[in-house]
Amino acid sequence: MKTFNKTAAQGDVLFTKIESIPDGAIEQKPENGELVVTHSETGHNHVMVLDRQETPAVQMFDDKDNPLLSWLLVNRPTSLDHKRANHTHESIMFEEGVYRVNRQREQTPEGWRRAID
Amino acid sequence: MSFYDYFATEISGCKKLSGLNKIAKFCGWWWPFENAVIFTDRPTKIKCDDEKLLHCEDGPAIAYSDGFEIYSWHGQRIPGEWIKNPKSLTPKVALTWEQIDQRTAACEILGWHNIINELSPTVLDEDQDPLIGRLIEVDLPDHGKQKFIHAKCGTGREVAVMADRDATTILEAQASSYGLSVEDFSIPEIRT
Repeated sequence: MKTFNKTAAQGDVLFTKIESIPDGAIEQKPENGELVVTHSETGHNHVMVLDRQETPAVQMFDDKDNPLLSWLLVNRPTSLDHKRANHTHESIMFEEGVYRVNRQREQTPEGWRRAID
Repeated sequence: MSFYDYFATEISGCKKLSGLNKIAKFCGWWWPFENAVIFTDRPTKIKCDDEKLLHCEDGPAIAYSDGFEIYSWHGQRIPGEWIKNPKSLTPKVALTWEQIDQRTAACEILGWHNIINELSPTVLDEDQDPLIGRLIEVDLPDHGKQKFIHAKCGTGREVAVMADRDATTILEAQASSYGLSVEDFSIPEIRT
């Protein structure tokens, strides 16, 4: 499985290792034991599967204003998996640390919006 | 109706609405007249994107048991033929479609990377790494100049994303597409 030190991308999502999570970020709840890092309209989400320990392997925090910006607090090494049978984005292993999550956007004639994968 | 049903169940404050609640559980749209009522069935299927806009890329977004269907792409109603028979939708059909919002949907269904090659793109900047790709500009009919990031994704597929119109280099466009300045943008060590 692929690993990285500073920056990685899976599909249209960019991950950058940083020092800390800014104040005011809102922690997101996992869904059925999984942390959905990026929802996909077709259900092919990019997810991190959580373990059953008291402190979860990964916690995700969202920016209160920008839906395209989040942060991951990785407490134990965890892989990011793409749930699609074909054209699957290869899994990426995240080591402990804090990561900024930037989802790609595009500037349409009507304005900025989330890029359509 | 579920909002009022809560009060009817928990506080007994909305009992007069119980008839409407029962109808809402079993019927779709309905119209009462003086001596008749028109009821419709509930859809057998409703599909939306993550912004709750009607959307389905491999079938109808709304379907009824009698076969009536509505096809929709991110909230824009589209001809069902584009989904049922994808070969009917060609770049030429998409680019010459009269209704502008449907034309945009057609281009997205086909993928902009399949459209831009039909429009003799001008390459403004190009990186040696195909995953970073190139910044191109095309002249979209009835719209004008539009910049795109044209690159390969980690799976090897070709992708085209509408770029920041102020970007002059592919790195500026890539950084801006993630909401970052060039200084804050690091080229990914790995891209899958």
